[in-house]
Amino acid sequence: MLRYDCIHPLAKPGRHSGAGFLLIFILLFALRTPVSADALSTPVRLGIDTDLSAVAVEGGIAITRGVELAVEKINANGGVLGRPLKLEIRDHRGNPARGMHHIQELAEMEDMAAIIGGVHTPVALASLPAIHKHNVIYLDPWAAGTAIVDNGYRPNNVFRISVRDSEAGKVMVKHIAERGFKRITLVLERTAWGRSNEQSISAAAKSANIDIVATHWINWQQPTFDDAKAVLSDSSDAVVIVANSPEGATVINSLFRSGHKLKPVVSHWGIASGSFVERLDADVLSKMDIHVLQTFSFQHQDSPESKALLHAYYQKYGETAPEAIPAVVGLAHAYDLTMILAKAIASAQSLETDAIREALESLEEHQGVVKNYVPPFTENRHDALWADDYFMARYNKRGILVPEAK
Amino acid sequence: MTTRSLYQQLLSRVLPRLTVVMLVVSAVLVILVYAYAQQQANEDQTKTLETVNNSLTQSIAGTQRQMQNLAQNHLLINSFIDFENRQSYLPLFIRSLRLTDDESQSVGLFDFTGNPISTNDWQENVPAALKQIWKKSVLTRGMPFFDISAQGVIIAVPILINGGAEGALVLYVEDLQSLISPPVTEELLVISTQAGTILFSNRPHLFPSGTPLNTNDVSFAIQKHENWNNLKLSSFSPLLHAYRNVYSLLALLVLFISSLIFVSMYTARRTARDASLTLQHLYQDIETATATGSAPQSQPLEGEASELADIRKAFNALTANLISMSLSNEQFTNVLDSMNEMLLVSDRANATLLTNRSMRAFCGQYNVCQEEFGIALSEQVSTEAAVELRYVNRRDSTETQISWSAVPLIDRNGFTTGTIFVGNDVSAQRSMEKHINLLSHAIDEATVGIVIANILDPAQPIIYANQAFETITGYAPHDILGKNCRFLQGDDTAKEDLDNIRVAIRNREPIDITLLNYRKDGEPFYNHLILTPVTTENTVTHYIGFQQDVTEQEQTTLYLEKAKQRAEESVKMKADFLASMSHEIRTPIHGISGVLQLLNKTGLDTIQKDYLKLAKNSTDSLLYIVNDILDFSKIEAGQLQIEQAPFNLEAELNSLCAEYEIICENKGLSFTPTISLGESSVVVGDAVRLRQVMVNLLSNAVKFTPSGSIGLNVALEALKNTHQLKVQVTDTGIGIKEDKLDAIFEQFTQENMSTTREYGGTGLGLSISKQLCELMGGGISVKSSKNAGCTFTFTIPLTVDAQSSELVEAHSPADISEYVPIEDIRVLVVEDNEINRLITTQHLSEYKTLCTRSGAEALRALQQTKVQFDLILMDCQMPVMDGFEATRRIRAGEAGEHYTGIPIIALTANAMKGDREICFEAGMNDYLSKPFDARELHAKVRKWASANTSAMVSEASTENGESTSPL
Repeated sequence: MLRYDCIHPLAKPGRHSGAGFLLIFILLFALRTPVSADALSTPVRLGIDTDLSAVAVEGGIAITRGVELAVEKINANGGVLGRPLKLEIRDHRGNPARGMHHIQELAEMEDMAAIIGGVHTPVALASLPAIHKHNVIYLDPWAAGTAIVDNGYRPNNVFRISVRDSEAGKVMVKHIAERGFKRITLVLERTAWGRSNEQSISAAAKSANIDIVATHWINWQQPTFDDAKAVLSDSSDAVVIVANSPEGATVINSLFRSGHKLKPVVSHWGIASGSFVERLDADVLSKMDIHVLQTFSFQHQDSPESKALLHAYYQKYGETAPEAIPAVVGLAHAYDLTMILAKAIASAQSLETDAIREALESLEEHQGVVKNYVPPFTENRHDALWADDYFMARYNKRGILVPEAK
Repeated sequence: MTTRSLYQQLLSRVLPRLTVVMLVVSAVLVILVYAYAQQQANEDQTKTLETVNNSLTQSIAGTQRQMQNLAQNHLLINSFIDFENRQSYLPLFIRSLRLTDDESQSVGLFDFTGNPISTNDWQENVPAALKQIWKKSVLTRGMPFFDISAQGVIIAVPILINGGAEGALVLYVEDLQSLISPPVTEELLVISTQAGTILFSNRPHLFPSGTPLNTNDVSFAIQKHENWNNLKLSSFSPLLHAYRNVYSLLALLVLFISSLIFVSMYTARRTARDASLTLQHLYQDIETATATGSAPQSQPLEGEASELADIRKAFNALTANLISMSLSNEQFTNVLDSMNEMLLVSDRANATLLTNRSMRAFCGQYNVCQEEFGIALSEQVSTEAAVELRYVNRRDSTETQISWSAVPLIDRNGFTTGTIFVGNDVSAQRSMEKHINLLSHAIDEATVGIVIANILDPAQPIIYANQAFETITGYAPHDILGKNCRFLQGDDTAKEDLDNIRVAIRNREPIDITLLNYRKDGEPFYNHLILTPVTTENTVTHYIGFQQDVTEQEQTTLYLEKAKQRAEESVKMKADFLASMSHEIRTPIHGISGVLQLLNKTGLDTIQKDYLKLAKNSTDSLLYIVNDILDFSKIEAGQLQIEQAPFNLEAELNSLCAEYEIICENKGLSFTPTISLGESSVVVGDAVRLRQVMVNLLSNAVKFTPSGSIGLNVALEALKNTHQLKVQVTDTGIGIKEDKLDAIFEQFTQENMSTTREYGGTGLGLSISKQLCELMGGGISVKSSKNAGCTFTFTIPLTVDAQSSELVEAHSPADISEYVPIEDIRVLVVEDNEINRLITTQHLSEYKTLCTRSGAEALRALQQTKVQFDLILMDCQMPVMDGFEATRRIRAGEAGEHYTGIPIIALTANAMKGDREICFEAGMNDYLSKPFDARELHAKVRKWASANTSAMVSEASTENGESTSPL
């Protein structure tokens, strides 16, 4: 297990003016003269702001590892613009206020090519003003809120390789319809992410002619889910959960302990972001049918790129069963995003945000581990993965996600 | 020198010393009280300060705890994540928070950097110095925080998400006063800063918070201080309050000293008064005794001291002693005279010194001189042992017996100065002893064993046993005295008898019982025991038991009982033997009779037919005799059962008359029956036995009437509740001598033995008829004289049964002939006896028959033969499986469901009581007693075969909906 040092939020007061001056100096220098050996050894920074210690640690670690493996590969191939990539890692603990604070802090650092975000939609949404105020590229490898990408900012600095809630709703509803369920009950976390999913699932259900019997909300850190009996005794055929791992586990355990007849569970992938299985009561997995939305699995995607990533993962973090790598989607998404970023920087030949953004929007193709992106992004489409790229996986008895056969 | 009174002397000596001691004690007490008051005041203040300390600590901790609970509220936590929506509920939530009673409190929710998310009057209320003070502890270390200063109170707790502080909930209260509830006390309590600014006091109007504490204001008081974090807790107590306990103690002290002085004075005075009073009385008593010579009678004084009382008593005793010494001897003499015993005291020279009244009376009665008597006594009576002397009164010759004893008369120096003789009249006692001896001897010599037990003792021990008891039981008196009578009981003693005895004793009643007891040598004997309670003063104290060995009588009784049992068993065995013989005898007769019937059907010449008829008549006679004997045996064994079934009396009589018309005609006698039954033709009774009696009488009449007429008169008379059948058979035959009339109903009796030789017969007929009539509830009588014919009359009670008329009509024998002959009847004959089989099948030659030799074979035949049988003729007694068992199995469906209802007719030679019931219980439909003749057999077979066939036809038609022919 890696340890990440947390930078104190109040650290380094009054640094702003010095940083600006230095940046201008370097830019002037770079424009006027050939790149010196000193300049070439100055690293290009890549920020990571994710939860490494609170509620979605597995997701945070997976994202970090994906980025680390990509950076290692990029640096082994000469880095970007001939300079090595260096990571600046922050732990926002799922707290939007910390997230905002880190964006500001990272954006003010020199040679910050982009910031890679974390699992939590509320953090990403809260970070949007700072991202655009400081004009920094924000790469989203996980947070699924539709409004993160469809944020109304022009130009839009957010690029995502992950699930998009509006699409997730469609996929989950399609899965529900295929299994023959007619009525569903929603359990959503009381955050922007939960509300984003309420909209997308309702829309998809309406067009698929599926009734939403009831909608229940759960707070972060809520110790028990008191609506469990109501959920199991209403007329729905299945329960749809949109929550992170702690609240997801609270909901599942409360359902399981209620003593009522259990119903199949279809969950957004938030529960797969960290320590979900450890939080469950014994026997839950053998007694309950829990399906989870996924985008990537080493069993599902077996391209040469995917195999190479798995190999590199083993090399660096030790061997384990490929299906047992926790929060594997974060690993794959972050890896692909970092590789695409490197490609875009190479294409832009610049660390300017605007240039990188344009390059990201203009790349024609990228063979990634999740899929072959043709193209990854366009000017009007900053989401790389769509409904066709998602699939449903089921938790087996040992707590491992097994993709449903296509 | 003047003498002072006792009281004055006591006071003058005691008072000065008492005063000194009291002063010293008072001084010590005052010192102790002061020290105690000091300590008490100190303790009070310590306690009060502790209370304030606790109140402050608990208030801060309680508020902190309340805030920590809030900080764990998931709605509050969620608001940190729910960035967009929280403004819709957080401000309301924060505004509505009431963490203290203080209206001016401020509450703020802060994020992880310490920036406010939502606050309540924070900016305006909270002094700038306090705004940041909590951040380091709460946000960096994640620890709760509080600070109390002159500016106000700050309490802050972290909002923890997964163990990390993501924000803080902070409370500001301007005044400490609102957080603490002061204890109720006289003391002044102040919480101040180290600089002396008052933050809290329990007298806020005198010492308001925010003002400096001026210690001069309270310098008169006793003070105590304590530090609490950076604060100072002070308690001030006014002197008056501090020593309030001492004031009450001082008053108590004064009261104590004055009481002591009063008590001392009173004690001295009282002591002096009591002593002088007693002395004065003593003085007066002496004066009085001296003057009058009588003993002083002074009474105990009230409240007198025991020492003084002792002196007075001793003085009185001394005085009384002196006076009593001079009392006369009168009392002494009176005492002696009051004795019943005679007393005579003589000196060493045998001169009489003293006698009492009894002695003197005795001398007067026997006319002797006391002096001489005394001399005589001293010769006859020594001091060693008592001597009994007899005295005869010369006047009335009564004898008196006196027991004399003597003791030496000893003076105070121990010298014997004479002898005291005491005489006791023991005449009555001796007389009673004699009487008791006499009774005792009588009891001892009695041949009945007598014991007496004390039943007041729980063990009820024997207190007396006579000689006879030892003779009967072998136990000598010394073996058993003091023991309970239980030793007589043994293993075979009936528990019931013992219970009876126990109950009688408990109820204090006498009991007479015979039970089995055991002698000392273990030999059992029957004891006829009579127990009688002895009552003394309305209480039963003893029981007297009289015992007699009745073993011989008991054994005789037992022997007789056994003999009776053996006799009864023998009778029963005889009956059983006859029952079995009944079967054995009838079977061969049946065979002979049947074969003869068959033979008659073959082609015979006239002579052969005559012979055959002779043989048939002989067989019929034999059967008649055997039946008589068997009937008689059955009656004897009590096994003859009288039926109670409805039958058509008229039809029976008609049939009988028809028969005897022919018989009489054959013998050349005229037969004149007269029958008057009224409207009742169906009655309830035993048709067979009625017919038997009538046949008996009619046959006798025919037999003993060489010429003339036979008359039959039958009448059914209505009685009160029932009807009586009266039958009279009159003949003009040889008659019976009048002196033999009584005997003809006895067994094996005809009028005389020559009659037997002339007319034949068993001599049982009339005896059986008489017994049958009696069994049916009626009687029989005869009137006759020699050569003038006889008239036999019998009566039987019968009930008329109107309801069963139709039923009986349907089954009357007349109907049988009307049955249409049915071809193709298939009969299964079950019979082990070969001859019987042959006869039966020959009789039934017009039908199809199959024979089997046992019940088991019959079952096999029913199961395996394809032919459907219509009827079964079932012998009852067979080897392997008898007819009853076979019938039960057929009814249970063992031969197939279609045979469970097949008619089964029992063929039985058993004619004993209960045979019919056994047949019907086994499930048979009808009953044919062997030997039967062809006509009876055909009638039964046709009746049941046709019933079965019609039943099957109707069954088949209902099942198939169309008529099909049977089989």
